Amino acid sequence: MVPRANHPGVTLGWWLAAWLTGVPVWANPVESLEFHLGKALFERNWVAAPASTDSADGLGPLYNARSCAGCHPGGGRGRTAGPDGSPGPALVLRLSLPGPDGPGPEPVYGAQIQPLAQPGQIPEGRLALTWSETQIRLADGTPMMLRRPVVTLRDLGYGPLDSRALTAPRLAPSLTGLGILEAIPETAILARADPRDEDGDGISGRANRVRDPVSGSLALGRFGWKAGQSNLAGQVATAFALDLGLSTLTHPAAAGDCTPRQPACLAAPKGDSPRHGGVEVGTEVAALVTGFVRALPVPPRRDPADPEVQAGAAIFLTLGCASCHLPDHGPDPGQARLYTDLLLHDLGEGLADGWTEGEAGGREWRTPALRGLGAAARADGGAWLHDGRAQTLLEAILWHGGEAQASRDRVMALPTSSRAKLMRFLESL
Amino acid sequence: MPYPRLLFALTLAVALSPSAAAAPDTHAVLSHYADLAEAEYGDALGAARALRQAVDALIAAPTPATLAAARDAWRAARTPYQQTEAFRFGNPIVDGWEGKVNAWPLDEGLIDYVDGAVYADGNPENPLANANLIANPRLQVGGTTVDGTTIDKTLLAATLHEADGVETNVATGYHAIEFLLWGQDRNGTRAGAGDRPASDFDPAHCTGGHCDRRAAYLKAATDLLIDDLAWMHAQWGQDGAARRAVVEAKQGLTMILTGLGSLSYGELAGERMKLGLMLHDPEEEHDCFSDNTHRSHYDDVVGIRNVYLGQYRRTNGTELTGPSLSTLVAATDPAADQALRRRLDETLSRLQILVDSAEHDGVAYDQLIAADNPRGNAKVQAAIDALLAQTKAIEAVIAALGLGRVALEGSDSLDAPSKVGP
Repeated sequence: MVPRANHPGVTLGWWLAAWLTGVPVWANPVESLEFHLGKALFERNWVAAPASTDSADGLGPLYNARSCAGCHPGGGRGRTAGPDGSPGPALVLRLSLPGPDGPGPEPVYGAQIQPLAQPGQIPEGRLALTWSETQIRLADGTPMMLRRPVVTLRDLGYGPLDSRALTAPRLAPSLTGLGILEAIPETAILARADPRDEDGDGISGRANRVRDPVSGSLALGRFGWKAGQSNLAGQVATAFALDLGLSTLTHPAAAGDCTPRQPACLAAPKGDSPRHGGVEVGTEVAALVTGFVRALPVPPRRDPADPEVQAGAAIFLTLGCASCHLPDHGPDPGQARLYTDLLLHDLGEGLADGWTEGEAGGREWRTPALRGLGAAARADGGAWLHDGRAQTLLEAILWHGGEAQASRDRVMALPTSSRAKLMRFLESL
Repeated sequence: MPYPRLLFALTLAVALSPSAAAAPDTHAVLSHYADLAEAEYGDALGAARALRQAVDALIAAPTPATLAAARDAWRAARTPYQQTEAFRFGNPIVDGWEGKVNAWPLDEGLIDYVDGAVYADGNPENPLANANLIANPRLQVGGTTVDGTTIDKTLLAATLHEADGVETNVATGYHAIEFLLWGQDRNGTRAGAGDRPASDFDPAHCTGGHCDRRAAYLKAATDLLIDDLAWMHAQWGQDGAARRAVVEAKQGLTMILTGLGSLSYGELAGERMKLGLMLHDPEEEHDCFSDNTHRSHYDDVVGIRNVYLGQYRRTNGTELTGPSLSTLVAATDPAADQALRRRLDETLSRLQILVDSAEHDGVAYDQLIAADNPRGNAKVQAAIDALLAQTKAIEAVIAALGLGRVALEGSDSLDAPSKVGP
């Protein structure tokens, strides 16, 4: 038996969430049969080609993980490192090389380092993780240790990287609420954009325009740390290609992120099947996984009516956090509020890693949604921001700079009790 | 006086009609539901004890006959257990425990030798996927060395099961025992199950190596199964936590129907059947070492019927009956009750076709879902369709009982948006 990553705990968690809200799991509108199938495919461990069946194979030849859930357990965010401190599959290293038409893949290693390889193939290398720490003090005297990851590559399988290559560590983010973000009308997002800060509030907010891998045309970027993806189907297809080495109609290369400088990888057995339109992951399977991601429920809020939480919400507003962490794009009763404007903002040098995507510059990041923070923190502690550097929500706030510098400084200056209320509010989300 | 006599006759007729006569109160239905669970887990426990005797006989004298008897005992133990799956999703206490006894799928290379050509490199995300405890008394688990010289219940349950936090490290339960009794099924979607020889348990003429350790593993895993089933059986006893949770719950009927609906729909029709059919993948087969999948699916459906109809045929042949959900529904909405009972019959007959295929035509479940078997695929799809129709009928019953739906997310009171709006 080749295993599928079965997650009884996750199943139980989803079930309990439904139970706590009084809804039978299968009676929940999101829990259609398609949702269940999508969930099973999301958790499925793909196998190498050729396998005993041609529907289940095609992993790699180079890959980061065998299943979606391997990096997004339960649809949530991954962990930077395992118990022994070595990086897990959820932390990937993206690669790019500046070019005349914008950044392109690194000529040998492609768009991403894949540390795992099918038998007979050479792995690209492994990530080694150390932390560089700085201590700061809050206004009330509380010392805080801020750490930044230093990712180096070991055991490179195909020689050194091009000296001009940019590397960017990225942590697999939580996927909950993406369906809600996808449904926000483009006009509502663009209405919030203020690229030249004409209202003079110190907050600009730019919409990213990216090449849609499905349609091939330019579209509003919504997903990813830099809004580099315009729709969920494209996001899922890109993850299949880069992380699992599985081809789809959108990314039909059976060898995934293999480059012409990796000929053995290109020559490896493929899992494409005529029954699936000549690719490894056919339209039906890709649509089920996309549908599952789209329908992932956001966890219920905890104690939203608690006076401390309410007081924290007021502080959140007063400090200006909601300028970018916009609760919603207009009242939509029955829909969870995610706290993002889906726009790019300059967050300063502290977070910058020079990586660009579409129109997003090296210091710019798309406002991440805050909904689900509390549930994630309670489930497995902390690993926040694009590379998982922040171990607490307060650390994540303290990394904000650029347009968010003023709000961040106000958090630094908060009296201890007010800061606790702000944290209570964030943990209630 | 004809008129009063007519009235009397009418009264009698109403009193004898099934809907009016037998409308039990909710508490009696919940209590009988717990009685059913107690009986079914009791039978699963008894069958596991019989399996232990067959395992002892196999280890005392490993022959093809004693191995076949142990496999029969495993199949017999599976039947009452699969019927209890109808209690799983509605009851958190069962759902939280279920992974100990029925976790699946597994990285079987953790336990024993596997065929490298079929198993490939195991599971690269699981450092223990090829640990092979039976051959290796010393294992590295999460950076520490585990002394596995003695294979006992504690080693399996506390150290090895879900070791390193990897859920495919299944060291205990029915499927670990199944793997020990059958070995890998290396036939893909072709005919044949696992074919482990009895000599794998014979230290005097040992095949596969380490036969004494394999025997110790089999004994320990079976003992652990007995312990776990005894624990769950006690939870449904007169003062048991599972019984109290459902009998005292305000939403007891919702719990019951949640279990029936979830098993019918997402679990059985979805993950266990439709997924494998869609991918034509024998690895998605539930009892994949033994090719017993047709039977385990069938018994799931029997379990759902047991709960709705309030009746259970025990392993010893006696029939347990009592106040049923069916009668409760019939008192409110006879049409909804009749529709669900018809659907339950239809599903059972569709599953019977899969059983007949495996047991009479020699076409096992993994062959039915093969890509080149459109007729087999159609049989499985018909069973899935019947389960979907059954789910609709369960939804209608929920509506008939007025149990309703609650919105999952985002009411103003839940989100308090007015307090946090910009």
